[in-house]
Amino acid sequence: MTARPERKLPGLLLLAAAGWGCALILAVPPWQAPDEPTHFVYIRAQRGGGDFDPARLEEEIIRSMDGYRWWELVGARRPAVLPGRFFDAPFLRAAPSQMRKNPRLYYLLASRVLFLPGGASLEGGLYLLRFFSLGLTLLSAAAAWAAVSRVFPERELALGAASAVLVPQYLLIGTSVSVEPAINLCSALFFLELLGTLEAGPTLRRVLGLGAAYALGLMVSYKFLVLLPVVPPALACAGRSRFPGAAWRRAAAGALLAAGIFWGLAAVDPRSLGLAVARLRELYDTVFSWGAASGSLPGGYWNWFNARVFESFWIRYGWSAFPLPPDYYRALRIVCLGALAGLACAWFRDRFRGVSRGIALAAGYALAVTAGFYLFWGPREAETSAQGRHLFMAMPAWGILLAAGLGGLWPERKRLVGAAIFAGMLLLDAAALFGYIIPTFS
Amino acid sequence: MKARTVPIALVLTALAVWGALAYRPPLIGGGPVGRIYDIGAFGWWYARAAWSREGWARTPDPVLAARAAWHRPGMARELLGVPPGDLPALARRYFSLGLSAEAAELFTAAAARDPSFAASAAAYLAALEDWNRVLETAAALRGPAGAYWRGRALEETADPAIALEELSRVGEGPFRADAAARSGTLCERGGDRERSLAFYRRALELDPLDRCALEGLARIGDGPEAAAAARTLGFFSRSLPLRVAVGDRFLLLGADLPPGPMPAGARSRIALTLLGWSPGPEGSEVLPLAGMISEAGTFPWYQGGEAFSPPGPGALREVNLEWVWPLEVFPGDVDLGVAFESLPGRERLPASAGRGGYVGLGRLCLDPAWTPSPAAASEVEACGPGAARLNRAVFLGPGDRIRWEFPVPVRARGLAVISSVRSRGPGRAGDRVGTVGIETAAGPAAEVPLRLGRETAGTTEGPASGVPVSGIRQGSGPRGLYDYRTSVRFPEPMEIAAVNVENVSRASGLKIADLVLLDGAAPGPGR
Repeated sequence: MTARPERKLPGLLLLAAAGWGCALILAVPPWQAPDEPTHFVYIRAQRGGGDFDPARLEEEIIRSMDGYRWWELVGARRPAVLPGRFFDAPFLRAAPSQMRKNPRLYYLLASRVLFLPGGASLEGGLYLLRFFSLGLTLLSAAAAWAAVSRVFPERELALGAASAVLVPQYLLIGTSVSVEPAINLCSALFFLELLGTLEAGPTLRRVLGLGAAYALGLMVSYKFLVLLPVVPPALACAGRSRFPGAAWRRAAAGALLAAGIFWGLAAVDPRSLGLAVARLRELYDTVFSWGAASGSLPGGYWNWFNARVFESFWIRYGWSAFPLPPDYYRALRIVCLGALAGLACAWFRDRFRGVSRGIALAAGYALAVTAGFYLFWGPREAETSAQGRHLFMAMPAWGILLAAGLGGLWPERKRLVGAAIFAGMLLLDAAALFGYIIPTFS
Repeated sequence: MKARTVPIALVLTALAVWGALAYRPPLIGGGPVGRIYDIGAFGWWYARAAWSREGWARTPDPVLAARAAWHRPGMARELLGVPPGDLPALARRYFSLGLSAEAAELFTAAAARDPSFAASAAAYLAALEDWNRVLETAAALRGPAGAYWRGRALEETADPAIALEELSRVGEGPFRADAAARSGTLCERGGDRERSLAFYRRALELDPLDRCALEGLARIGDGPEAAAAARTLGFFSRSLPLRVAVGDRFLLLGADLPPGPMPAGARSRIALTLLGWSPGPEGSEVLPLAGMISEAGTFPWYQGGEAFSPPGPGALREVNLEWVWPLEVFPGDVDLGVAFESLPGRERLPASAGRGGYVGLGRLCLDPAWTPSPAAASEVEACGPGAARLNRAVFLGPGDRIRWEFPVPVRARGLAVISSVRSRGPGRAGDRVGTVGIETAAGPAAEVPLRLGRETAGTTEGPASGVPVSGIRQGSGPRGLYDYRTSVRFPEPMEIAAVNVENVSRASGLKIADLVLLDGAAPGPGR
């Protein structure tokens, strides 16, 4: 008895992600991913040890960065005298530390990796952490596969949708020393729980799972705050409720969920609660001063910002310093516009034939992440803000929308569309790696 | 449905009642009852502290942080800077934050744990006017202090005769004069005028400035004696009446503030009236400090006065603070406060109101007298690669502006500004705090914005979070203020006739440390 070909698809996806991930880990020189040095210091601080001195570590890292042509590769002038601290280093000054910016959970877990053989040395530890990130990214890919399989149960478009995890920038960030792979994993799990709740209704197990996934996300990053608006509509639309006809019970379930998350965080990890609330306040202030801030932006700012976000979503490697030639982005724009058109076609033609709620959730999820990103980072008028990686939290949702949209253009050839997306991603990865990343860094 | 809901509601109600009756805060050894409540309450106050601090780099609101620590002693060190086992220090901290109920519980618990702290705890509890706890705490005290505080507590809570008997046991020592005066008050309350007058006179013999005795004589004394007492009391009356306990040593009863607006370089004076409360260690002195306080925390500016010996219990004392407003104090409204430090050791005495040990006295206006005069033409000078340079520090308050005119237009290709900002409230990256307007002979030609976190920076360590600054940090200035340098290249060289600099913020001081019109060479960090 031979296995159905669909059963091999997740393995194929994970194999591709693992392969490209390993290649990127080796091809990208140390410290050539956004904020790698500062994340590394935070992780190393959690590893502890009586001799740990952040100032000495920063000095050591700066020397190592210099050895790997860091200044030249980020486009900054090499200082005549190497600075001793990140704050005094050109370019790093903008965000010289991750401490107190993100909760500790990820950094605490990652610091355990540094106890492995080779973890004590600077570069050895860095590469171990990159492989740790790859592990998280592969788990994200598995969660993404589980999610897209729920939305596309017949699996025709599942491979195409899950191929979103092969977006080159996603793999670049997903193999760097950063909290982002952990955020992406938690977000994929939360999305999976939401999909499950949408299918099964707000059962106790689902509500608890949803709460646990959300609390875990907040313990990793404040970015999960932007996902909060997705929960009430998802609970409201959840089907086959175990509490038939009682809307107030769903509201109570939502309130209990929120209270439970709050109480749980207060009990287990209050610092992450504090950080989340402080960021919520910042978001609140940003929203209410958005008009004034956006009013003072220079003309053409949003065009520049949107283009930069689009590019860095697909690929701008290094410290966002190296884009691919414009033709790549033109082609990708056409693909994305095609997916949008396909979504519209599918909506008007057959209302997605029973998968609409999953796609609606994906759209809501992507919208929440995008809105949060634009509200929070949009009007900051800084080059470091315009980074598409902040949208990776919704990567499974983006994949679902891309596959559903392109599948909507050719409803009779969905399997082919799924395979084409997968192949397209592999081609893009190959072009980026062999055509640009390796030549740049070699 | 109903059958299930009612028992659940009953159980929850019973738990709530049990929790309310048996609840003891964990800081003073509460049991498992109320743990669920404590976690929720801690989360609530901790979240509110985080909400109020507006960004991860700022210090949490101390009152909210203290309320959070009340429910989670393990975080007392992080939130309050005090280890959870140090009950006296914790009690003083809650006292200084105005959290009277919590402070009273802690003082009582600290006195019960350490009898040598009981006298001090009784004085603090008396300052909080929690007379039942004063009585409870003073019960363990021997000697004059015990008799005095028991007498004071009984004066407020029990039969005057019992209080009088207790006060008569004070005997010798620093409490003697006030004990006599308080005995006079009790006799006066009982209608025995002659005996009360004798007590008042006796008190004034022991301490001529005992307030209780002076008030008693002014009330019931004979003509000249009453007038003299009223005159003495009048000398200590202040335009700003207060009642702030400072440590367990004295009460701050009032202050006379200097009139505003105050120009830089002006001499200011605050007169304070103190009332002795409890004697400190033999020969100990107190150092008064005047400082600025704000919503964003205490400014790192203070001016010390002369050290003084605190008055004895019940006695009045005038203390004066004088200073010259320094250049570092930015123009605009400032909130003036006072603080006290014990000597030696300079430990800040907790005050029952205020922030960070400072007692807010009011707001002073430092502008418009701070608006600097227009730069003199003689200040325009050629220098190195720059065509012209202001070459002096200028401080601008909200709405202030200066105009820098050139007798002969200066040809320049760029502009470099070294500036810094001090905000009373929290500033947001991108907030426009100033503008530099360039004028040619034909009129306004260009305007360079000075925005927080972009072209200039605040007093926080480093640039605003996550926002790259186009300015270059010049190094720390006085009192943690950082100067930032930014530069602009004009599209074409301009013949500049005048430069206008304006502070467009509502609540920030803008310092222009230097302003250079650059000639020829490309403006930038290499200047």
